[in-house]
Amino acid sequence: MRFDWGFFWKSLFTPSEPFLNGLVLTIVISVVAMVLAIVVGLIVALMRRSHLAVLRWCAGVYIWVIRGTPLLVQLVLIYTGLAAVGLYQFSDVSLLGLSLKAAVQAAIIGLMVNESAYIAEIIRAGLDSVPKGQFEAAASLGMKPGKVMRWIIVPQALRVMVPPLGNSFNGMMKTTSVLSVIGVSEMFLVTQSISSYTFHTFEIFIVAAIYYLALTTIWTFIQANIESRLAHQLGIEQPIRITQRLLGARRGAPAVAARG
Amino acid sequence: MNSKESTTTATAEQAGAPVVSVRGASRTLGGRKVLDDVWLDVMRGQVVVLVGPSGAGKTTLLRSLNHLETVDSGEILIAGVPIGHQDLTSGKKVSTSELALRRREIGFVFQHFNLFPHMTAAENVWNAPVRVLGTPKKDARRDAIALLDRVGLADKAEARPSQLSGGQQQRVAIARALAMRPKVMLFDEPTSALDVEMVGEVLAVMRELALEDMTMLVVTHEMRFAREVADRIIVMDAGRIIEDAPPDQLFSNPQHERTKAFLSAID
Repeated sequence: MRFDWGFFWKSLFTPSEPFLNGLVLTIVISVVAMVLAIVVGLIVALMRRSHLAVLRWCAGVYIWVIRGTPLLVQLVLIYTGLAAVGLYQFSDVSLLGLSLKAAVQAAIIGLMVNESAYIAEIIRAGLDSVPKGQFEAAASLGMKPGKVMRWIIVPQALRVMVPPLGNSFNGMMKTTSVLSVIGVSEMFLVTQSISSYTFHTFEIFIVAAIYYLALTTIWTFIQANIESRLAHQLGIEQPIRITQRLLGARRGAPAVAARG
Repeated sequence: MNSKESTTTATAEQAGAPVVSVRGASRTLGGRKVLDDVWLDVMRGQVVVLVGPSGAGKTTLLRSLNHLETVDSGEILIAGVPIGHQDLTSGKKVSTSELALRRREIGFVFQHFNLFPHMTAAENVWNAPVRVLGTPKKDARRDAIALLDRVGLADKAEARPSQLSGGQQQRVAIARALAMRPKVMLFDEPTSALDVEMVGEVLAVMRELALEDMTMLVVTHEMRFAREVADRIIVMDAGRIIEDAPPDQLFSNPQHERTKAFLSAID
């Protein structure tokens, strides 16, 4: 085996500047796309629960189409397709002193659209998980619908929503590697180019894998923290050991005991 | 608008107008009449117990009083103010937020408590006064502790619903409804979901409320409570009120065949 340990350690502990930039871009795109996807997902979820059939129908079609087509196809359509038919061409913009490349904008929009369809369903399931009696109790106390949502329903729905939302984000960080097809210089594309001019394909991709693993592992810790805070709020103490989370074999979250 | 509302209410009460007034309420569900031309007036301070076989429409009637159920026709007035999305006298639509405003004066106690599980007992009680009435948190909290004390749970103020027994949860639920200073309290089978040994503590709280002249409508199968506390017992059957009498009269001399059948069945 010709494994260049020297190159490996160097790439791992003193990564080149392009590699670090790729890492940062991966994180930034994931976070921005996720935040936007939650906003859009919430809107779509509320549309699905609307009294107006038109809104329900639109949201349903959106979810059906987006979930039923590959992200890769959506990305190419948004970035290359729209420009090809002369509908919209992304161009570099500078925002708050930072320049935002055309491909990065398309990437964020593509990921946002794709993820929002899944998140809409997560939010809907979360809201549906709150028993009808909670709406009734809040309404009987004279709360208006907005306040019922804000103070009674959402805090309870969050507990159900956070685990799948966290998993979505975890997936999103890995999915950013797909963005290389539209030429976003995130971690994967940088790794690929390093590989092509050093020929240390195995070493550098192992390094990339370790960085992806580090990202998702750190996020798992953050997610565990958020979940235990929420559980604490509901008076449920059920610590899931972090090894269980990382290595699998995690039992499903318990149903909320003795719902008021 | 608020001041106008309270003046109409005040005059209504001075004139001895009913706190609860149901005028010809009907509702059909799946071809079956769950409410069939119900007329009912409840005066201030009265305790009315609704009894009858299951499916008679007691719970539907009670829930309609708070617009948790809608009626197809007829009118429901609480303290002189119509409840529902359509103001039948003026024909005007009532907005959801206006409806929420009107619901504040009606306390509702559910069979399954429906406490908010993400809040402590005290928060359950002070939450609505703060969010809905805009009461300063400090005052609302103090009132909440006083209310919890009244239902015998001052020591459980910081407990979560999941840490309380069924009887304790129901008492917190009563305190929560009282925190909005309602003009009328509606109880929908408040002890049906409780273990036998906890029924007494909830009924004791309700008894005390009755003594304090709270206007109350109670759907229950607790006949001893009905006999001792009620001013009137209303018997419903197939969506209709078939008998409405003080307990002594009803138990000793029931008028309706169905009432006799019902009373003998539960004895």
